Amino acid sequence: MRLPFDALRTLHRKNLRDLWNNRARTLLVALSIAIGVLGVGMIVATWNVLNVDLYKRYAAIHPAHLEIEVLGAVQPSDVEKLRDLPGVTASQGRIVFTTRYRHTRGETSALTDPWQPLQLITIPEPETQSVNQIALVQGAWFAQTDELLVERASLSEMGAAVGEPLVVDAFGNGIVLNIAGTVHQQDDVVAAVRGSPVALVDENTMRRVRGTAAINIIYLTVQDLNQRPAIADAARKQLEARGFTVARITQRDPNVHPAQDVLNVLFVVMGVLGVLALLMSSFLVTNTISALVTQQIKQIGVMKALGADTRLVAVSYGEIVLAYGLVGTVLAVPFAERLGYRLAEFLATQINVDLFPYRPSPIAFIVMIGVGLAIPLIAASKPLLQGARLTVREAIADYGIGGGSGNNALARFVARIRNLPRVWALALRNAMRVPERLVLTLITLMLGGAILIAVLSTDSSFGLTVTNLIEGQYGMDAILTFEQPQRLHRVTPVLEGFPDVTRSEAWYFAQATMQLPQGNQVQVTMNALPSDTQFYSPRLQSGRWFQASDTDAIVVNRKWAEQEGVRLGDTVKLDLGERYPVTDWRVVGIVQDLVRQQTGVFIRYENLERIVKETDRTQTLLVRYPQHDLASQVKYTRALTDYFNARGVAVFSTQTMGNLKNQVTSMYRILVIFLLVMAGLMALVGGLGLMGMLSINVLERSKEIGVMRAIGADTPALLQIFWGESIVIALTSFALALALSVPLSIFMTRLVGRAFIKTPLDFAYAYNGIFYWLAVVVVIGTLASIIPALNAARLSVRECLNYE
Amino acid sequence: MEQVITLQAVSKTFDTPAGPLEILKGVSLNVGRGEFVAIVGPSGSGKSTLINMVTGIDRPTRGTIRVAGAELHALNENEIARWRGRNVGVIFQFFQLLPMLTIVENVMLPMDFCHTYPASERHGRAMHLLEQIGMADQAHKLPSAVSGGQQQRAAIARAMANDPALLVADEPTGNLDSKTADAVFAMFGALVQQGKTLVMVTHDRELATRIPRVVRVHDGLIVSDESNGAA
Repeated sequence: MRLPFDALRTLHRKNLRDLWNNRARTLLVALSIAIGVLGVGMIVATWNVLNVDLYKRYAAIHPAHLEIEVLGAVQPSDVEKLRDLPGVTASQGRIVFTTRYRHTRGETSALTDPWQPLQLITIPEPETQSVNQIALVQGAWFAQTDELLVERASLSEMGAAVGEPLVVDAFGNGIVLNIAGTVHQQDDVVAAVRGSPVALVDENTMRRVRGTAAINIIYLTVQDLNQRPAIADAARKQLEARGFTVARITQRDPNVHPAQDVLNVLFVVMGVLGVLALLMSSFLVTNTISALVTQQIKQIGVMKALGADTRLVAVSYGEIVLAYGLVGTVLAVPFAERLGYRLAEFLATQINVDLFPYRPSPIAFIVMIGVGLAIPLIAASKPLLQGARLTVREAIADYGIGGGSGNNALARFVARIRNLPRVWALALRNAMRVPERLVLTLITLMLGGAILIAVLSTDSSFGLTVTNLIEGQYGMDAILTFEQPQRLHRVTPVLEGFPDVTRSEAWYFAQATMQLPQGNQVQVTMNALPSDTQFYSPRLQSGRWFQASDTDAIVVNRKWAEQEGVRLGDTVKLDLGERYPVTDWRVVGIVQDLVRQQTGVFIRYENLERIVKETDRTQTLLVRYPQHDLASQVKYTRALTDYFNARGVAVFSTQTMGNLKNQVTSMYRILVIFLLVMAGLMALVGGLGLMGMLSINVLERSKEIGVMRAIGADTPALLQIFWGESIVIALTSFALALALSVPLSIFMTRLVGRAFIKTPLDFAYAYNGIFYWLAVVVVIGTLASIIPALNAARLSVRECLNYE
Repeated sequence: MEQVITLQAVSKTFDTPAGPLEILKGVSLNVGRGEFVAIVGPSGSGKSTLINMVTGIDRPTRGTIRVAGAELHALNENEIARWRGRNVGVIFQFFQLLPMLTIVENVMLPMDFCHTYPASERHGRAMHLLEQIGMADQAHKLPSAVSGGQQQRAAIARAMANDPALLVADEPTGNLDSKTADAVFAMFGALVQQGKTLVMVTHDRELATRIPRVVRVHDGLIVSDESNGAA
């Protein structure tokens, strides 16, 4: 049967007037929907923009598919030759060398070491880069000699500015170089994460600093990524045939961003929060619309009395619901898109990437349309059906005060609670008046609070894990590297004259080439530790730590082992260079180590003799001081450096553990910031959700306000009742949120842990989150009730009693 | 006789989409202590607006109103609310009990709002009032659990909570069957006997004939004010 369009036209006019004449209600309902749409839309927009732009920007620099570390006098012509290999599309050579720098104006901070590491890069013919392109941002490509072009994110890390001079170490002599401009590098993580800033220099400067301008890194791109192993092999053969040594060849996936570790965690968290925000938004929208349709039941009855059938009523009210949804969505979409973009932009800045100019996210738009239009319709269907099933007599009967009769089990239960002051009894029971609405409001708020606490718990668990992984594993306060290897029997007596060192250990660090069971070679950092070390407590993932009987045991880092396919029990070969024999080592343990996660392997210092006969020499000294805070570490380290230098033991560089921890932590700074932003967003959506809901409650009970006024209630009494109701709901939701926050926090920290270090994070429940959320619900509960109750109190009794 | 209600040249004009609508046109009325007055008239005649002026629910556009010793036109909303709670018991057609409070709690509520009795005495007084109207056994039920007649009796007890001198009822029997309406009316009679002043709006011609004084309102004017000999 066709719908009677004449009737629909009339109802359409009625609906428009209903929306317009009740502008405050229309706006309130639309705002409630808008907040729900905004919460989920913003997360989806952030995710979408980041996911697209980061990879597009990365692809635009033509990332390398193969990275070859090579030793020898490699010239640009040798790099060009590699282009002739079948399947190779481009090649690019670089000279990369890590030295140290300091400011000419003195120290910038009392908390940093005076000399800081600096990675210098030289690109032959930088104007015509083809792979891993580094873009010029400010200045020109080396117009003059003695210039530095500092990576733009490094500049702020260094606390330097364009135009300033820096002292750069060149074989123990400081040379002054001017910062002439900036560049943008996207093929590596940012300076704060890498631990050393980056600057470009020309070949002459590189020669002064390093002694040679021979290329040591070659990047290749290939036609077919599957051909990478074969091309790597061919490239190795060609380079070795030309007399060079290939130290390492790494296959790179152009679809893996340099900040992928962090992005993985970020996207996992976004996914979880997106789903939870969608749930929260859906409940919020459902509740708002249900309340609204319930209010209209009397009008539905009148329409039915006049001959409207269920379908006509449903279509007519569907139109109103859609109108609310539309207004809410229209309000939310531009804000959500822009806020989402701004958040993505902020996060991208943290990893030194520029987003493409603002444009709306189509996925976020579709999701918002779904939440803003479809969910209100679904939400409205139940009360509409209930309304349509009511008899006309039931629908139009006026039993006085609306807003729920309170004749439900919950209301009857709380009615048994005696001896409460009347005003509080009323507040408590009013909260139970419409159980479905109460349940949905509680769920929305509970989710908001639980998510906030879970997000903060993830943040604190994250901090605890990093601290445990660094401070729990490493017991020293500073690492000193001498300019020349020192004999221990000479250094030890010198050190004894420095009273502030409570313990020292000599570790042997060396770059070595490791040959893996599969035959491929990788460059590793070998850490030889004394058996009685008190400075390293391994966090074993599998296997075991060293035993006294071990002669060939080696322990490797989990992340690196996974990357290279190394397993427990494997036998690997270590090559420390031409002067030493190649030796076999058995993998007995796998550790989780954030500091040395890339290429760190551990052996016993005592077993080092198998390779290095003269183990009395060391270039690195680890020390512990009486105080372990960063300021003390820096203070003692400076004094110790001066002490050694004054006694003819030249210290090349120092690193305090506090700064090392900051460096590791900064890798995940973006995640922490994101988590805190999300926590704020959830608190906002949950809080505003409650506000909208309670505002509707108050609006719905205008008649009741009139009655109370008629029997003597003044404005403070009314405010007390509505505030009490709001606080009852807020505190109940608070208790539920606390209960849910524990499993949700555990779930999120496990999820983030798996994305971050493949194991759950060390759990630290965010107790501060409890107080934050309590403050949020009390403030929001107060605002939500006081503002609408004050507005209602301004109405005259007659207006209240006439309110439909 | 002491005047409980004095209305002088009271007019009330509402702004409507169709323009200003004058509902009361310079009405004057005096009601003395202990009087039982019926306000009658057709729908839209202004009788409800007239008693809204008496209870302070509405304010006059012109004229002065003095009720139970207070100049209503000089008080603000909060002052009127507190004054009304202490001095006027309002009884509505649809009872308007708060659904989330039990019957006895509804009766105690005006005492809570106006602090007219010490907190320790309020429950006892509420129960006493409910006993007087035969509702003590229903005291701890929610309004939705009792009949319409019982709700109206509870509403009368609530109106009596602060022992006001004046009771104002707007169609109090309009939603009740005739037997219950008679019982409620008898209750009103008893209250007047106790010295209360009672003003009641009614459509019920038969009921009006049983009330000592009948004020007829038509088109915003008091067209007659007669003592009812039959009452």
